[in-house]
Amino acid sequence: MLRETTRRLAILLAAVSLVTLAVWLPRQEKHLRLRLASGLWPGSEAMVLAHARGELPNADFQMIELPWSSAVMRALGNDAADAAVVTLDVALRMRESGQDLRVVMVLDESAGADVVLAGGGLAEMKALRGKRIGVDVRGAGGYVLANALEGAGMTLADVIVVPMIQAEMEQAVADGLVDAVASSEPWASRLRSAGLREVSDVREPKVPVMRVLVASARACEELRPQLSQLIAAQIEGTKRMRAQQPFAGMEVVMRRQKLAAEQLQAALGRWTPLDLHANRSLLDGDPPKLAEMADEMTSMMLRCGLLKSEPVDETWIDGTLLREVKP
Amino acid sequence: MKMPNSIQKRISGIVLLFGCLTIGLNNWRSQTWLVERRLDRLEQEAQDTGNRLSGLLQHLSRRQQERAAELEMAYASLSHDVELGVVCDDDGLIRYSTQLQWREMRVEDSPLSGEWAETKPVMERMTTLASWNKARTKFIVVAPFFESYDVSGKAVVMIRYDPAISLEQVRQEAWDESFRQAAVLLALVLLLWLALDEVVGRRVRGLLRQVSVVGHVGKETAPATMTGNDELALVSQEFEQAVERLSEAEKMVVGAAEEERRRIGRDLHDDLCQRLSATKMKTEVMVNASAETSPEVKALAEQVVKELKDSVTIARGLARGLSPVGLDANGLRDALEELAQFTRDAFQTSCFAEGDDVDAVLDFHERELLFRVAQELVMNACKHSRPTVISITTLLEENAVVLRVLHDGEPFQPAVAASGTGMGLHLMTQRIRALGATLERTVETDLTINTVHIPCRKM
Repeated sequence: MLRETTRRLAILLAAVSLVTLAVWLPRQEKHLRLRLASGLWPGSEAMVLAHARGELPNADFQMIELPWSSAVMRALGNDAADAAVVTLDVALRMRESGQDLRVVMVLDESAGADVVLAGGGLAEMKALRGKRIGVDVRGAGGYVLANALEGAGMTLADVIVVPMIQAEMEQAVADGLVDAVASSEPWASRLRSAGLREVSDVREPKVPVMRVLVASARACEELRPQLSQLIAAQIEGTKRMRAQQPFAGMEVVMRRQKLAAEQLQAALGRWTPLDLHANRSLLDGDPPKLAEMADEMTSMMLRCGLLKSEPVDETWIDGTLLREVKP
Repeated sequence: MKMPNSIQKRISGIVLLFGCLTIGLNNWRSQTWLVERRLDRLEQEAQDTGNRLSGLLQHLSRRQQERAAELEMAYASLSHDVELGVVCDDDGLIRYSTQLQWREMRVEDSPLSGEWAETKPVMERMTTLASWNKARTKFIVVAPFFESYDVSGKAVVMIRYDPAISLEQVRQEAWDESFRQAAVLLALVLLLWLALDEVVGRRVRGLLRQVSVVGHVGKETAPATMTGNDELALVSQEFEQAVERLSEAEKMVVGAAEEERRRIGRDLHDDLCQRLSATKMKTEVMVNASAETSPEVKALAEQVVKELKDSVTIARGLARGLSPVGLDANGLRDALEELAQFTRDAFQTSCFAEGDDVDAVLDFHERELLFRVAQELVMNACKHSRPTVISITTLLEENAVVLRVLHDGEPFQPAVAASGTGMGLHLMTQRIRALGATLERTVETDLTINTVHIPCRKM
């Protein structure tokens, strides 16, 4: 009798479990692909090339190519993209606006890729006082200009900031709408070719401009294999791009960046890519070294008014994905 | 394949089979329907996007809003299904593209070179073209527009869609849904199995037990008759009544047989035995009379006397067997003691009877049947088990009379007994049934114990 009752209870339990399974089994997400919003930063071309070569297959990755950084930010903010390459200062501003993002990789550190360029005999920062300066205020330009001004004992209030996107700067300079611009690659190379010169006394920021791969918190949970694969492709692709010149796919990069071969080769020397080891040392500590650098950057941005408030102290660096990447 | 032998399993199996077929059919239908719907939506989305972009780009081109046009084209790549989209002029120069590497390239050098040939008539007619390729794997939309105020300044938006990944997801969704349905179906089958077990299975098993027990042992140990008015309960009640009727009929037959045995026994005892005794006495007289006259006749007469004596003994034995002496007058205990005495004499076996007086709770007919059962058990033991000791015990228990016959001979072999055609066992079983009793055989420490348990209503 006891055995019979036990058997019946087991069957009843199995039936209830099956119904529960049917009701509560999580439904497959609509997009299984990692949607990467890529801007026009030559340092992230390794990812785009990997996608074009099929190393990041279409079944797992959707590449959304956007022409400037504010569009990338918007795509990420609207959940139209799961991951994007932005500068660290932009990531901090996105945090301030309440976006739940994670920095999962540092692509590189700028070493002259983000500069203040001026023409017409304006050779030093002090000469820019009261001048009109074109800045992509939603990109890294604000941080670059504020740093340069601070080094010269000035603030943003000492110049006239003309907000514009990077793609508009070439024309704005040609039209005489601005006296100088805070520009990044690949536009900086084109502006140099157009005759603009780096303002000589601009010091490198204490915390350099860094390009980071950010992903939504949801993507960090649900698309971990794709993110790991993306990081691996970026590291491996960058190695290949720098191993020999011309590198495979260089023509595609030149077309995308609208740079000549010599311009691209020169540009490659203006940032330092970070390998897996360097990334682990930045992201995988407790606390991560990147957090300390970000704190310093935050202080500077608060001082210059680029940030209105200190971002809430919560998890925003995820170094765990790097552990899943094979060296 | 061996079919499951229970109705409950068969019904559950059939439900499962039909359920699986339904799920399979539904999966096929869902996939077909979802794929068709997805493709319809893609066609609609493609045409909407093509037309929207052509209108917008016409406006932006005329106002030389290149950045906005570039951005609009980039946003087109947000769609999951867009493989490549370009905007090119009537010379085939790509102005904008969802993939930046194709900007300012010739369309003939891009992946859309195959589709470029189709744009000529489109630009002539200035109507949107939307169509599938021959393999129906790619969908192309070509939407022309005027990029300037000059009618010759024509351009075209070309977007190629690849729905493979979306369709894969749609199919996956259909399978997910089928998986859910299968889980629910399995749960329902389990619940159906439980319900069938409760409503049908258990009751059928009870009915089987009822039939089986009545057929083999005795109806008193059978499960209670089912109550209710469903088919199974009615079968159980009808069976119960049929068993009652059969039992009554059997009792009557057994009673009639016992009566006939008694009558024959009485006739043997009262008539044949008396006659034989009288003849024996006359012969003895003849022995005395011929003692002096004819020694040969005397010897012959003495022989006849001896044979007559033996015949009387045999006849009395037969009479006792057929009609136990004293059962009606002296009770069952005396009859059993006489049986023990007979056994000792006939089989040279130590046999004794003891126990409670059960005459008060059994009527004559029941006592007689019980005696016959004891007689059969003792005779069977003597004939087949070669015992040295036999014990016959009657006990009065709560609401029952128990007859126990135990012996130290070889145990009873049911298989051997079943293979035989012994009338004794058959009659004993009949008597036990007529008594409404049960017979249990056990072996404990080399003793075979036969226990007859008679429920007694008089107690």
